[in-house]
Amino acid sequence: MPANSAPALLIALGAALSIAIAGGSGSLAQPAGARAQADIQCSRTDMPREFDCVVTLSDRRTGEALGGVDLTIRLDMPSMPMAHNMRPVKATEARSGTYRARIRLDMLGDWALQLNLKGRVRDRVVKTLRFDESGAAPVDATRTAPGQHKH
Amino acid sequence: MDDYLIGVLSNIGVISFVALSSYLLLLTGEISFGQQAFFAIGAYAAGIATALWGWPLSLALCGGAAAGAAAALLIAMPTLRLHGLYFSIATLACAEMIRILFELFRYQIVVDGALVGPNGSDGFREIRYVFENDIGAFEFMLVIYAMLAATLACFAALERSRLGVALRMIGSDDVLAASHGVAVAHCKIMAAGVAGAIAGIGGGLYAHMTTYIEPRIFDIMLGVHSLAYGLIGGLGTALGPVLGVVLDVGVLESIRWLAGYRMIVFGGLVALLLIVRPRGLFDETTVYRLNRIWRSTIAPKRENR
Repeated sequence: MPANSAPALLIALGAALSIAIAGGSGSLAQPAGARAQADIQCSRTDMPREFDCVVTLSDRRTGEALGGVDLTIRLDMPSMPMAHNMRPVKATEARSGTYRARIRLDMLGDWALQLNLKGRVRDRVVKTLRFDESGAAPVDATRTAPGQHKH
Repeated sequence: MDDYLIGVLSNIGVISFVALSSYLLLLTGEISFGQQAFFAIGAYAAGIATALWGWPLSLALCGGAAAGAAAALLIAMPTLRLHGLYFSIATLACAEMIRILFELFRYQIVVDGALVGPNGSDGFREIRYVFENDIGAFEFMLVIYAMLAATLACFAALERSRLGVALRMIGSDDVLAASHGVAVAHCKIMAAGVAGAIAGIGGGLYAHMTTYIEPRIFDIMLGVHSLAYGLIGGLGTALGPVLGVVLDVGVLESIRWLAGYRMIVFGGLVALLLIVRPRGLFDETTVYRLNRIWRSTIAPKRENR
C-alpha cells in the first residue's frame, strides 16, 4: 500500500526538526540584563510616505534614559508579512536616550517597527504604528476591540 | 553579510515552508487557501512553548509542527469530502475562523516582571528565545535553511516513493487512482496532516525570527501567496515552490522603485505566467526533460571519471 511510506516520511520530518537543536539548548531563565522601554513618535515630512521618527529609550525597571545605544529600525507590514523587505534604518542619537531616524515607507498603513538595540544594552522592542496622510499613531490606540464596532 | 540581505534570505526561507505546505496539497489536486492557519497555529504554539513554558527551541518547533498537523487533520477530515472550488472555499473559511479565534485568544503570564503571551488583536510580543539565547540573525538564518534543506530532502524521498506516485495519481485523477487500489481518502488526509506540520514548522521559525506575531499576519494574503509560489515555480518538483518564493521576493525587490505599485505589477506578471505556463516554470514535463538530460549526458560522464 502506498500509505506504508507514511511512517518513514514522518520519521524523516522528525529528524529534520532535530536540526533545530542548533538553537535549542537554552531555557526560560534568561540573564537579567537591562530591558528597554520605547516610545516612538513619527511625523510626516514634505516627501511622500516619508516620516521623521523620534524614539525615546529608557530602562524598563529604573526609567533611566538609555543613551549610547546602537539603534536600528526594521519595518514590516503585518497585513503583508515578509512582502516588504525594507532596508533597516539606523537611528542617530540626538541626546541621551533620544534617537532620530527618517523612514520612507512603500505605502501607508499599519507597520510593525522592530527596534533593535545593540551596544550598551542588547534588546528588541516592537511597536505597531498606523501611518497615514496626517502622521502616525500607535495602532493599539486606534484599534477597535472585537464586539465594539460602531455601526 | 549585511542585515538587509540576512533579512531577505531569512524571509525567503520561512515563506518556503508555507509554500511547500500548499504544494503538497496541490500534488493531490486540491487548492487550499488555508495553509496560513497552520502557519499561525505553529507560530503561536512554538511561541507559547518557548516564551511561556520555557521549552527549548527544538521542542517548541516540534510542538508547533504537531499542533499544525493536528489542526490540519481535524480540518481535513470533513473538508476533504469536498472537491475543487468547494474545498478551496472551505479551507479559506476555516483559516479565517482560526484567525478570528486568535483575535480573541488571550493567555498571558508574568515573565521577568512583564505580562507575556498572546493578547488577542494586540498580538503576541516578547517571543525572545532566539534573541535572549544570543543566537544572531545569521545563525538563525542557517537554522532556517538547515530545516528547509531537511524538508526538501523529505520531499525528494517522497517523490521517489510509492506514496509520492500515489499522491500524483490522486492529483491527476482520484477515481482512476482509487480503481488502482490507492487509498485516496487515507493519502489525502495524511498529506493534509504533513502539510499542516510543514506550515507549523515555518510558523514556529517565523515567530522566533520576528519575536512578534499578531492575527493580521495570518490572513488570506499569506494563503494566496503560498499557493501562488507553487503555481509560479512549478508543480513538477518541490524546488518549484522555493523557486516561486525566490522569484517573488527577487522581482519585488528589483522593482522597488515602483513603491506600493510593485505589488500590482507583480500580480499582473503572475497572471501572465499562469496563462503561458499553467503548471509553473518547473512543471512535470520540464522536470522529466531535465531528468532525461541529466541521465543521458551529465550523469554518465561523472560515472566514467
